[in-house]
Amino acid sequence: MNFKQLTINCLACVILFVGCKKIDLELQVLDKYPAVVEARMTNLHELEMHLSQVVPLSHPDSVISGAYVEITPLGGTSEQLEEVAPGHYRHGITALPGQRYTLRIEAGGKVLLATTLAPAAAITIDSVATKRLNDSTAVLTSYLRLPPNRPIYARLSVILDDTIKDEYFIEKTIEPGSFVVHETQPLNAFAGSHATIELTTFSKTDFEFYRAVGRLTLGNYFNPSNVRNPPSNISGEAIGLFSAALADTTSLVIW
Amino acid sequence: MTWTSNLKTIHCGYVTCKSWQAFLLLFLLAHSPIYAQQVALSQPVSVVFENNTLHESFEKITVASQIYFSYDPSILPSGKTVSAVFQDKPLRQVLDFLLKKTDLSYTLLGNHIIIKTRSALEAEQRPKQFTISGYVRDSLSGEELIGANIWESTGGRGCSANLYGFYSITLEEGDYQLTISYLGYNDRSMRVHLNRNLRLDLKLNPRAGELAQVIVTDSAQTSQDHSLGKQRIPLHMAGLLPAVLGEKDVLKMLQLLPGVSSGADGLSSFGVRGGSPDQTLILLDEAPLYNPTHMVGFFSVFNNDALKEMKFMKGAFPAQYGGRLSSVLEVHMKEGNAERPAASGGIGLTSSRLLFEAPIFDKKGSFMASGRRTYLDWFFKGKDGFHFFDSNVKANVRLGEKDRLFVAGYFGRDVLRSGKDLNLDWGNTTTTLRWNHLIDAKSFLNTSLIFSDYRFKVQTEGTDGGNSNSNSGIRNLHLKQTYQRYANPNRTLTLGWSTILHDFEPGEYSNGIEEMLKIPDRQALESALFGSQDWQVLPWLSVQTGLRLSNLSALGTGQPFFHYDESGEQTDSIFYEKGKIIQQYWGLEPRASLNFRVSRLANFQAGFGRSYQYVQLVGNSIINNPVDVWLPASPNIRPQVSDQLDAGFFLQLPDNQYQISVEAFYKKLQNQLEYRYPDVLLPSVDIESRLTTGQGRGYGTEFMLKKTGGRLQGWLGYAWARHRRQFEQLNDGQEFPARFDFTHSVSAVGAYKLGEKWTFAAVWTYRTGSAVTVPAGKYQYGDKTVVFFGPTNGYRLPAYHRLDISFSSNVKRGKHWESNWVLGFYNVYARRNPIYTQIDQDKKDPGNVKLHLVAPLLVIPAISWEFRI
Repeated sequence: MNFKQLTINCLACVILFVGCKKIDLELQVLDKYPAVVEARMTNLHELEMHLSQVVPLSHPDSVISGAYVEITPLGGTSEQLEEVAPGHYRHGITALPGQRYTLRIEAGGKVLLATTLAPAAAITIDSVATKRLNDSTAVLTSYLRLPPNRPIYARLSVILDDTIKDEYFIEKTIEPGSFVVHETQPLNAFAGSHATIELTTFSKTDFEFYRAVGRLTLGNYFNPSNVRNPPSNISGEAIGLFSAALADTTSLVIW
Repeated sequence: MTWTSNLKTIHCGYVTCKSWQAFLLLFLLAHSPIYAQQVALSQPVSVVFENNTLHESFEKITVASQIYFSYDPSILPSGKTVSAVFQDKPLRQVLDFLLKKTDLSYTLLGNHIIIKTRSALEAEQRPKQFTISGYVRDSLSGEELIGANIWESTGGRGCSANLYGFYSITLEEGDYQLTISYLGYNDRSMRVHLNRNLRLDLKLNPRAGELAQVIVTDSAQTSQDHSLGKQRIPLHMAGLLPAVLGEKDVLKMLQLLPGVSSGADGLSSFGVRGGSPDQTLILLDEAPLYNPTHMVGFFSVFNNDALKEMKFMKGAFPAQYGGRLSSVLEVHMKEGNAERPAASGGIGLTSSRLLFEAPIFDKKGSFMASGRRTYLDWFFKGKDGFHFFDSNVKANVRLGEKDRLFVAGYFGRDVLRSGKDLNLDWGNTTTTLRWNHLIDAKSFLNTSLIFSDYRFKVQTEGTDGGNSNSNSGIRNLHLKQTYQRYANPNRTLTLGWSTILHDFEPGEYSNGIEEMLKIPDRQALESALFGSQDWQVLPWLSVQTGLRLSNLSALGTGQPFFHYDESGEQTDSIFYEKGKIIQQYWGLEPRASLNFRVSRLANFQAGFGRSYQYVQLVGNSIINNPVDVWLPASPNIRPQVSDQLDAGFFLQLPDNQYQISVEAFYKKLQNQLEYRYPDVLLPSVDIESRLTTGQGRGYGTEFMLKKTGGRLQGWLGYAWARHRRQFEQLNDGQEFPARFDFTHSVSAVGAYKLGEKWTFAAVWTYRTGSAVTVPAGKYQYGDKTVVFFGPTNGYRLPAYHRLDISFSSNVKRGKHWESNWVLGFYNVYARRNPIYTQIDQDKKDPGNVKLHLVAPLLVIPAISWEFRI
């Protein structure tokens, strides 16, 4: 037996001994589980809010119905949101650039408060070009116009035939230049597919929240040591986000 | 200089006429000076001074009493006059009156009164002192022995060789019995007749027999040799103890000391007294190492064969060390055999290593070169595989009696290849150029120019055929000078300065999902002035005091610098020219420790130290993630500060086989860094906006029982500690356990000599489970089901423990060679120690979600063969 073979045999022994075992972990039961607020509006989309509850991992989802919810623009009057479905609340208000809004929720004897500030200026879509790689794959190149002297935190969503295919998070520091070119990963898109690019400009907090939520989904969970819940702007025993953002959108047909 | 003797002729005549009386008088003067003075100075004198100068007054006394004066007229205070009447008063009283309020004093020689300044007289009356100085070396290899003790047994005075093996001790003229001792070497005693300054280079013989090399019974050492929070690591022990895959690892041995904790199972990364790994300053021949591990932490970068000395300080470290909060690990490479060519090496399951050393320049110098490489990649076909290699090189040459030049270097790389899709390589490069200069027998000067570079490169190939690359790193150029003055056996003074130019390249990243990111480069100048003094105040009390003044200047790099507010929003982008100061921080770092010697075998010590840390690793995991980046303090990041108090009691039992130490500490930390947002694996362009600062505190006790003689040697260590962190923006502002918070830690290390052929060694470790953040629920957000986490580090993994054993064959000696085998088993009783949590969701029933601990079963046999020629 030569040295290499001896080494291989020894390593094989090592590998035989090595194996991972999953040990059931007793689920941590908290004294109380917070409410979850998902409230968002843009200059293009009316205010929608989903009110639910954090539940233990093995429990079904739970929504909170019958809450009293009102929205107040800074310097404006309060208006109540209507519950259009269990846990779903809506109001016709849209976000104005640089405007501050307060959301007040009364549910289960508790009061939750959230304040958000819509960005003063937004990154906008100048134009979108398509590049076909083959019969079934294409790449979209977006030319984005930056507002001057502002950091940009934005999400670019690619919606293909009414389905969100990809989301890209774009951070731009204050820097010279007014254009950004963004290219998507190759998309499965046949000729004649309808594509919509939606570009949403957030505040820094909102941006970090959405980015974190995308990475902490159940199927995407990985346990590095600094896991924690996304930053929330809801005060009281709740998590989630009340977001007022600025959006720009454009649609095209991919040929 | 003119000397005045007012009655020289009479004096001469006296000697001529009554030479036997003069001889007798001189003899009496020489051997009974006090008696002689008493006789003359008590002689009654009658004299009247009327506004006389001192010169006139002395003449009047001579006339009145036949006592003659000798002095240098220039030392008499001009303008001083006296008026007084003395009737049959003792001469002493008259002289005391005359010299009152002057800097003058007197002594009697025969019937002469010698007038001198007080300082000159004191200097004459002091016994003459001479200095013994030189280097302490290994008799076989010529290696300098850092920290060797030189002890003068009569007066109980001693010193230790410095970092470069140099010692200096100043004693009064006389005969002395010197004892020289060093861990792993036979004591040496010698008689010295000291009547001039002596250059004495000393050689010690290594102890024969492996176990004896491990821990020695050192008759010259007493409890006073123990220093608070400071340990010299017995490198030879690493050769005997069980090791993962048989790879000797000094960092893993370090983790067996109380107060030192490993990051995770099998990893070499470690935290000290609750601090994160980046809070330990790791120096290899004075060059800082920014990632001291290979293979994401499984092995350390230190090739044990190439190391000479390893010193670990976790208490209030001396003022010459700075820049980190928790501890200092100072490692020195061998200098090479200065007596004869030699080689050593080893072959193991995963790696092999070779070292060659030899004298150069007619034994005026020596060199050492070593290399090590793993061959895990042999078992993968094509371009796949993972391996690391490293090499250490060192050479030195003596330039005469007073000067010595060293050059040392380290180069190491980890290489991971996965087909054409992924290529990663990372590693450290260091170079140290050092000049030792003996200014005189008591003064030592070291000047070092140090270069250190850590690089991480990754190249990936995208699905569309395009490549993405990322490069990051930190590069340092460091110049420092340390002056040591061995003023006397009771006092050593250290002064110095240091300046480091840091170049940070946090990196360019593209992960295929987000935009290409370019984190702006950073540059900073870190400087320090320091001074310290070791002072043996009393035989039972010694004090070490020090002060370090440190500064960090964040410099412009010719790129925009982003300023952020407390919420992380960017407030400004300012272009700073290259080298322009953006921000300066100053730190005053007092250090002090006291050592009360309770008895020859017991002492009590207490210390305090403040430290500033200006560069930090912005990371997110307990493993040594090579993509983590180092960043300096800046307008957005304040320097970290630590204040530590510690105290300890050390006892050596009379049989010299057992040592007991108990230490307690309290530390307070400011400006600790954490990511305020979750999930970050790769740094982002606005990385500083993603950080938040908080406070920390920690306290605990550490106990250690060492057995240092007999067939069974080893130690039992126990630590109890609590380490907490508090951040306004994390965990609802509530305090939470630190990442390296382990309430209880136990380590039992033993090596037992089984007859003449084998040595058995075992290591058992236990510690409280890691504090981790675990999923506690879920919620729906949009179309996503999101994990909800419980309190930060609010869950304890099950306790960690394992037993490792090894058998080492005792050295077989051929005519020109020796070799030995080491067989080892890691985790003998197959303990499954969980390392992380995982959520499993039933694909068919998404509501069925379970949380698991993932616990690998690592039972790793190892075999290695080592040789020395």
